[in-house]
Amino acid sequence: MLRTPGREDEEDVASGSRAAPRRAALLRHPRDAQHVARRRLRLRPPGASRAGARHVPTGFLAAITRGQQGHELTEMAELADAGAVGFTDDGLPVSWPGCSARRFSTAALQGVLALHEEDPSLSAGGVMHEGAVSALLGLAGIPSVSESTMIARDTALAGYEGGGSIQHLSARESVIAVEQARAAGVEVTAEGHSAPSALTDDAVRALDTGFKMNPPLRADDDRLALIDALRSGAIDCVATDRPALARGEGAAVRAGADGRHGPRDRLRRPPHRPRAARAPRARPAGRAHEARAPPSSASTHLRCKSGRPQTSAWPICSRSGMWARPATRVAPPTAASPAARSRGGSA
Amino acid sequence: MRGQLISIDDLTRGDIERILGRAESFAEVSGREIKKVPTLRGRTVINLFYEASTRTSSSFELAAKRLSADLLNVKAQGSAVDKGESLKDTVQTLSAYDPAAIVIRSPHVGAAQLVARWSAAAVINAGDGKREHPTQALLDLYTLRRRVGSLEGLKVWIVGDVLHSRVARSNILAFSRMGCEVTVCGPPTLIPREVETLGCQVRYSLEGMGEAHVVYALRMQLERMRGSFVPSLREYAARFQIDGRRLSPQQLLMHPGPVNRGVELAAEVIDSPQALIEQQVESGVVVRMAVLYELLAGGSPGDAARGVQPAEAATEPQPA
Repeated sequence: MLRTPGREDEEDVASGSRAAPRRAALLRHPRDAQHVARRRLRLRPPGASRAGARHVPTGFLAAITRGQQGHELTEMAELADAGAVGFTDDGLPVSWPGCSARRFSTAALQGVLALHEEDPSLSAGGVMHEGAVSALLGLAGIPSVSESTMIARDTALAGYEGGGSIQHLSARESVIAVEQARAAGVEVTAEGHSAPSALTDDAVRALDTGFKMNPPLRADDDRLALIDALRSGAIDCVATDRPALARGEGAAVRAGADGRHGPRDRLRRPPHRPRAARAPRARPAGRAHEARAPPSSASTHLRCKSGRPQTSAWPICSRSGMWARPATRVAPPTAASPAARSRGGSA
Repeated sequence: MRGQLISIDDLTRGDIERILGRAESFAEVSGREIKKVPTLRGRTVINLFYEASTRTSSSFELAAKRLSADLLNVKAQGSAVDKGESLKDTVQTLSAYDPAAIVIRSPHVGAAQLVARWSAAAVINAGDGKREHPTQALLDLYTLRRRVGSLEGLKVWIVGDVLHSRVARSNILAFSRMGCEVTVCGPPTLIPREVETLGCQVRYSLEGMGEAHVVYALRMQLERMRGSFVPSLREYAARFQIDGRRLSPQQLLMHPGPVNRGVELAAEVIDSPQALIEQQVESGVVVRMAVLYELLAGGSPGDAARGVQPAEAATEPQPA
């Protein structure tokens, strides 16, 4: 997720796309949709012509609610006309159910809803996963249920009003909630969060704020559940969703900003693993999720190159609804070579 | 000689025994009319306090002065911190005075660790957020050991607001390291999930407290509570207050202070001979002298386990 327009000091198109692997798509997140509407900005991808930017499909997500406050909807139709491929209040949940219901029906016409799932009344003040490590460190916890209860609510609304996409799953409970919704026939897509799929809250023990993130790194059974879900197709893609946040060093864990690691860090090939070692291997993930793609909507989705075996433990592209726009809006990824590995072969 | 005391987890049982032994020898100094030894003469100790404190800051101050160190007190209020200076900049500024030790209290978990990264001085954690308060745990061990002799096999109940308590976390680790059986007890909202992984048992009512040799009551940290952790202090007191009825005469009572009278403790037990609360405050000075001594003049607390010899064994405190 890039930080433009507005916070290019943290991550811009050039730095983000240089870091992105093949088959990735980058989404740019205008923090202030009002700003965009007021100035009549065009939310068009800059394309490969921009100096320093490698060609990576790029699209804009606009905010769902004004000022991301979770109460009033933005002018979704205008924003879609301006080029937004979808909507998100990423970083904050849309906490008011009435607003949530309306945004589903509006967004069904305008684009895709990408939902940050967190019940703030359960996660308030939390800075890391609630579990043994938070008990040891005395840090306030973000329980897994703060995510899964919100997913249960939003998938129920999605079943009533129209589909959506669940952003950055981090917990086993969340995977179960998505699977249950799908089993009930709700058309939702879900993205796994790269960091909790590779690391656990054990990494926070060292109190490095680089491992502070929202959703947080969770326990090992959550990590394994995310990997299993990716294999089975319950999770459609992996998102890094880590803007490289600009906040100087010197922050203690409670005060430190979330993130700090952007696509630069998340998607980089581990240095100890030479390229030659990445022999193409067939993974069940690719076939499984190809088979699961709903035929009715498949044409509007960016897809992995059909029939191609997944060569990465972390397939970066998928049928995720996040990019579900007609191909004229976002160029499909030119998946000409095996997808780059994001994290090592820890999966 | 560079050392640090960030967490009880960094100390072996041998390290703890050594600090407690050293504190015993300083207790003799505290009994004299002139309570001062020249051990740390010419060294600078900085007390960097970002949170309110009476006991900890004053006992560290006394401890440093009794070891003849030069002491600098820096409080967040009234310093450049008020003007928005970051912890890192403050520490680097203070490090320019070449201190031998920095004692840091901060509302943020991990602050002491950061200070240790930025400064060449020995760093002592005097409380970092809700995580740890290792010198409090050491002085509690010292106080209890003076009273009962051996700590091995003692049953210790830690009662109250465990969630918000750095003292509880350090004490669970410290008591269990010394061979005690630790039980934490309180309302479920004030017990962190999976706290038993620290090596203690969990109870949600005072039933069964009769088995305890020592009851360690925690302060209700009203200033740290946001949201309703207990419906009311009255209900909390009715179910979890340690009073004369619940505390049997053979049991010892400890509390890190300051006490909320009538909340976690009833007035009659505070002033009873079973209560070690005053002795805990008294022990604060000698235990902190011992910690300063071990870090600056002896081996660092972690070194005993690693077989490092004290660098300056010659600077033993000279009795008489």
